Amino acid sequence: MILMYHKVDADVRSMWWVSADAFRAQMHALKRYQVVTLDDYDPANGRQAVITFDGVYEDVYRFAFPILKEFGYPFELFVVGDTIGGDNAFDTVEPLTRFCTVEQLRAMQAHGGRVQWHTASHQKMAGMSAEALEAEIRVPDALRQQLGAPGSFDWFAYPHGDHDPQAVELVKQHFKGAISVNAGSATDRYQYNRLTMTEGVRFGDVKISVVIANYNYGRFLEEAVRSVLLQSRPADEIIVIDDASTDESEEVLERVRKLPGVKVVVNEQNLGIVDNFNKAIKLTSGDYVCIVGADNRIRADYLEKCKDVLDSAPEVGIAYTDVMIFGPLGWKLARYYAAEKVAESVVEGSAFYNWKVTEPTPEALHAMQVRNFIHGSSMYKRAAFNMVGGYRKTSGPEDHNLFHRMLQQGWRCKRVPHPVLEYRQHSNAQANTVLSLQRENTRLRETVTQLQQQNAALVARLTAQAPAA
Amino acid sequence: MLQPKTELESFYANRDPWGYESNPDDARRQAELLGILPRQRVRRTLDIGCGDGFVTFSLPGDEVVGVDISDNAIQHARNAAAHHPEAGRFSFRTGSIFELDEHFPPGHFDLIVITGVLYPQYIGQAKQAVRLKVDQLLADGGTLVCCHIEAWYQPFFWFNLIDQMMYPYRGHTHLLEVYRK
Repeated sequence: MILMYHKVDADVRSMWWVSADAFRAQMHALKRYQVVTLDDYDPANGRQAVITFDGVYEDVYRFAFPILKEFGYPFELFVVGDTIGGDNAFDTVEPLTRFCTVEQLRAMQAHGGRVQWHTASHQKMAGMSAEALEAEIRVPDALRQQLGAPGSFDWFAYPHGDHDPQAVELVKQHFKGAISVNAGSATDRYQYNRLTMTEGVRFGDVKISVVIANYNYGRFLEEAVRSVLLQSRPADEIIVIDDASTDESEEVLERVRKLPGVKVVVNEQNLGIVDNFNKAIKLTSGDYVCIVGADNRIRADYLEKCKDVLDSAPEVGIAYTDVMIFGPLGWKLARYYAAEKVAESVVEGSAFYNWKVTEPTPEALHAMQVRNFIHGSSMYKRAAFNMVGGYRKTSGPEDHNLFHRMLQQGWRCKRVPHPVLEYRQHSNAQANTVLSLQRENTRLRETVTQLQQQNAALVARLTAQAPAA
Repeated sequence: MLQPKTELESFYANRDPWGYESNPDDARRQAELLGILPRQRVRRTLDIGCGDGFVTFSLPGDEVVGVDISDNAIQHARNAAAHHPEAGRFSFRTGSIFELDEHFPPGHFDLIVITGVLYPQYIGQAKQAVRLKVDQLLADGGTLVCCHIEAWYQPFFWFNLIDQMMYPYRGHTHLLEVYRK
C-alpha cells in the first residue's frame, strides 16, 4: 500500500489534516509492515508500505519529520516546485499554510526523505497543451542542483488525479514511475493508487490486555491504573482484579470503576496469587497480556516497547524490561541486584535505582532455574500461557515458575533495555506516601465543596418554602 | 483548536495579565516548584511558556532561557530582566514549543520547566511532537518539571517519574511532577 498524507499538525482543520498524535499511532502500527521507498515497492507484497506527502507543507517538517526520524522510515516528499518556501494562498478553500523551504527539505533528505516531483504549479493536467504539460512536468535545473541527492525527482505525482493518457506518456519519458490520488491502478507503475490517510485511519493490530492485581494496595491503586491509562500505545482491555482486600480498596475501586475502559472484578473470597492470576488472565481476551501490581507503575512507553518486542518474532513469547526500583525499601532490593542509584525523591526522601537486567545469554538462561531475571509484570503471549497451562502453585514465586516453563517449551524471551517498570519496594507499615495523602486531601476538599453547594441549595429551597413571617 | 496567537498577544498587552504577583495561590505554586527541584547544580535551564517571567526569574542555572509564543510577553520579560540584579543569567526569546528544537542543540538543557502549557488549547493533538522535542532538548540525566491543573492535563513523557505533589490552586488541583531523563 502507498499512503498519501498532506498536512500533519497540532490541529485537524479539514480532511487533509492528520494530527501529530494520530500520525504517530499510524507510524507505530507500520512497524508490523516493511516500510520501503517507491523504488523498492512491490504492489504484490501486501506487507509493504510507502509513506508519501504531497505539498510539501512546513507542518510536515515540524510535526511529521521528528516522528519519521524516530522510526527511521524512508518517506517520499512530492514538492510543487513554484511553491517551495511560499504559501498556499492559491488554495482558497484550505486554511493558509506555508510550504517547506529548500533548507527544510534538505534537512529531511539527510534522514530518509526523498524529494519527488508534484508539477511546477499544481494545475489540472487534463486537456493542457503539449508545451504547458512539458513545463509542468520538467524539473528546473536549479532545483535539481539544490535538491539533487540520489533518488530525487525519479517519481511523479499527478495533481488533482485527473490526468489523461497524454500526460502519462510524457511522465513515462521523465520518471521511473508515478502515483495518483485516485482513478489509478494497483499495478500500473505509472498510475499507482494511494490510500488517503485521515485522522481516523487505523491498521489491524494485535490486542493487548492489562491486568492490575490489587490486594490491600488501595493507597497506590489509582496511581497504577492511571499509569496504564496514559500509555502511548493504549491497552485494548484493562481489568482491575481485587482479591478480597480488607483495606480502603473498596472505596478506591468505586472511583476506578468510573474511569473509561476500566473493568473492575472483585473476588468474593481471597483466592491467593496463583488462582487469582489464572482467573484474571482467563477473563481477558488479548493476544498479549501483562499483570501490573497495584503498588507499581508503568511508564507511558511500557506497552508500546513490550509489544514491539513480542511483535519482532513468532517464537518470542516474553518481553521483559529493566526496572526502576523506588520506595522506602528500594535500597535493599537495589543492593541485591546491584542496581545503580540514579535519582533521589525530594518529597519522599528515598532514592531511585535503575536495575539493568541481563540479556538472555546462555549463562543467564542456564541459571534461570535458580536466579530469575524476568519480572512478574513482563508481557507475554496468550499462546505461551495456554501452552504451559498458566500459573502453578509451587514452592517458589509463581511468575518465575511460569516463565521458566515457557522457556522450557521453546518460547524465547527478549529484553526491553529501558526502565519502563517503576517498581515500588515498601512494607505495609510504609503504605502512606505524601502523594496518596495529598490525593486523599484533594478528594476531601472536593467533598466539602459539594456538601457546601448542596447545603446552600437546601437552604435556598427551605427559605423559598418558608411562610412569610 | 489551538488558541490563536493574536489572542495571546492582546492578552499580554499589559504585564502580569493573570494577576500572579498578587495571588497567594501563585506564591504557593512558586514555592512548591522551587522546593521540589533536585538538589544539584544546574548549568542550563529552559522555561517553556515563560510568559513575562513570573517563574523564570526564580529558577536556578548559570544560563536561564525563557521562551514564549507571545512577543508581548517576551518584551515584558526582557524589560524586567534589564533591571534584574542577576541580569546576565537570564535571556528570553519568542518561539512556539514546536520550533524549540530548531533553536538549541540536542541535549542543551539540564533542567526544563513547563508550567501551564501542556493543555489542548496550546498543544492541540500533538503531545507526541512535544515529547520528542523536549526529549531532544534535555540532556541525559537531566530533569523535567511540569506543573499543571490536573483535570486539564494528561502526562505523556517517556521519563521516569521521581516526584509528584498535589495542592489546591485557584479552585482547582495542581499536579506538580518531576521527571528524570
